[in-house]
Amino acid sequence: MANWQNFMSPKHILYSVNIFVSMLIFICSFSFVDAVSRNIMIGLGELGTDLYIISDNQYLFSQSKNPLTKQTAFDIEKKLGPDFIVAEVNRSYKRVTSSDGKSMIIAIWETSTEFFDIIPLHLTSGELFTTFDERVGSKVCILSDYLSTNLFNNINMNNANRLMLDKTYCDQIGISSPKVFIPEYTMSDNIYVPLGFNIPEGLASKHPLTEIFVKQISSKTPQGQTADIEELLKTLTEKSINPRIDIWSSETFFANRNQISTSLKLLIWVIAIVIVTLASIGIANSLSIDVIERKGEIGLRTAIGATPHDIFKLFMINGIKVVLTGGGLGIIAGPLLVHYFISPTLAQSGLLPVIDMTINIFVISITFAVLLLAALIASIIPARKALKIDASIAIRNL
Amino acid sequence: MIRLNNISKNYSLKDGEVPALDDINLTIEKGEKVCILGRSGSGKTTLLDIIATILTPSQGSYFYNDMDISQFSKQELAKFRNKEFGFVFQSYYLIKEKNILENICLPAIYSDSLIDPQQNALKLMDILDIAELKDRYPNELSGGQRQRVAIARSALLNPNVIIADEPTGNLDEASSRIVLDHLMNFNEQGKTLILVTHDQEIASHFERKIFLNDGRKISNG
Repeated sequence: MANWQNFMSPKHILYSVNIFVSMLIFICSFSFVDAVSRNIMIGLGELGTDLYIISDNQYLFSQSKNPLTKQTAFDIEKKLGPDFIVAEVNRSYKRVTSSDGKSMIIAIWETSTEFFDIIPLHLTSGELFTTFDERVGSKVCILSDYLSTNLFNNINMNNANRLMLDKTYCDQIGISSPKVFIPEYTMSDNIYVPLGFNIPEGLASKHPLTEIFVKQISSKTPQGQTADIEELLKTLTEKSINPRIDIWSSETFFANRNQISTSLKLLIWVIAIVIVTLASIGIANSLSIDVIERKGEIGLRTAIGATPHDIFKLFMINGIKVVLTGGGLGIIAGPLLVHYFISPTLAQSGLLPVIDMTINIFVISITFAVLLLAALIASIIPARKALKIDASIAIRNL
Repeated sequence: MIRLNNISKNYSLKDGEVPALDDINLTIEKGEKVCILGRSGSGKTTLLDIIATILTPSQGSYFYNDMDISQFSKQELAKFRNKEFGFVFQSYYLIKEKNILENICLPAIYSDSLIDPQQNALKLMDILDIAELKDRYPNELSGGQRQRVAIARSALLNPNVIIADEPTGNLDEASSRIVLDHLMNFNEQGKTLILVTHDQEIASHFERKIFLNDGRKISNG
């Protein structure tokens, strides 16, 4: 009993437990909000707009939250004429679990072979890949139109295995060698459910994100393409398909997406700052109460020879000890709690459709540093308060 | 040894200044045992706190071995108090999170003394008959035992003056007797004993009594 009381009094242990719980709440909520925001990012293409048309020098890229059918792609291609090839791209995310219980998320791109050169381009350009797939933490699996149809009709990972390992296929799409080997995996239902989708019941688990890729094979100007597509969409509207349409340059599209991404990151940081501030106020309050409760002890220590510096040091050390113990244990326990309990539970519940909760070590480290700084400041205030206590009066309060 | 010249102390309250001590002149010699008596609110504790240097007088000067204490900085005063004074209070003032040995050794934390605090504490505990309590905590002790712990703490660094503020105020007659005997023993070993009480029986053991009334000294014993 004497040993731990020497290190920390029961009251300070209680304060440490408060900070420990605050850290746990912070780490769990931060990881959760981070995962939610990244899930939102996945569905950003579907937020508020039905169809983006992005014009580049060579490619047009559109993405819809409506389940655009192959027929739509075909209609667009027909309208655009021989200068363009149009294809539907289905992108979906699946969780695959190995026989030994390890799981990972893979992104599956299904499109026709004419577009295999586009997909690696997007992947290597870092824009689509980093924005979506890498943030998902997925491994990419690219399927041909024909094979994917078979796959989706009869999900069988053995097919995907072979596909992933098919060197000819990899050469064809510009990937030098297969990046992922998936041994003995079983694939769960499609876990991608884009936000805002109104998917008929029963189809939700199988519905992939549908995108229309338009490949230009002539030197027609982007403005011309846009006009053509706008005209086509007018026709679609007349057919009561009525999509909401935004036309962007690729620059604007990605700038907008980055802006939303930045806003989400900012939101996370605001939450972090609020939690840290609240925790700091909590620490300052606890330590201030500590000063009031230990007024008599301050008086006694002053009487028996403690200098103002000794009293100041006593409360500073107490504050730092409380924060380091509680915060330190919280930083160890929080990620373990997220990794082994909360993340698997949420993944199983389907609350986070694509991205699992992850631990952002950088953010946690920064937060701990800020918490420590806050603890220092929070300790200084009560420590200074302790200095102002009149020993003669205080000693009558022990 | 201790010389107070024209000491006054006023407390600032919302309604204005309230005098607690008025023009006190007092000299206490080394090895003396002095009892300060008076009714509640007469200024006994204020005078004791000023002697103990934990309270600064509003007016007057304080000399200790001819050193002007009022010139000391807070740090110097703390060191001076640690070296020269031992304190025994009515409510013992033990730190409840620390065990008895740690409580007794507390003044050593702030001391530059070469005395081995643990050794000295164990010796004092033996003298005060509380050796078996060293690992216990204050709330496990009786009032008399706690006060003996406080006496051991006050004597740890071998101070020249023991300041005792109503040391028997919370004790029964038997415990009071034991506590007083121990304090008297320290005095016989050459330490100056300054004790505040309102108990005439306790006061009867002191040759020199200082009576206070409304902050004024009315008798110098």
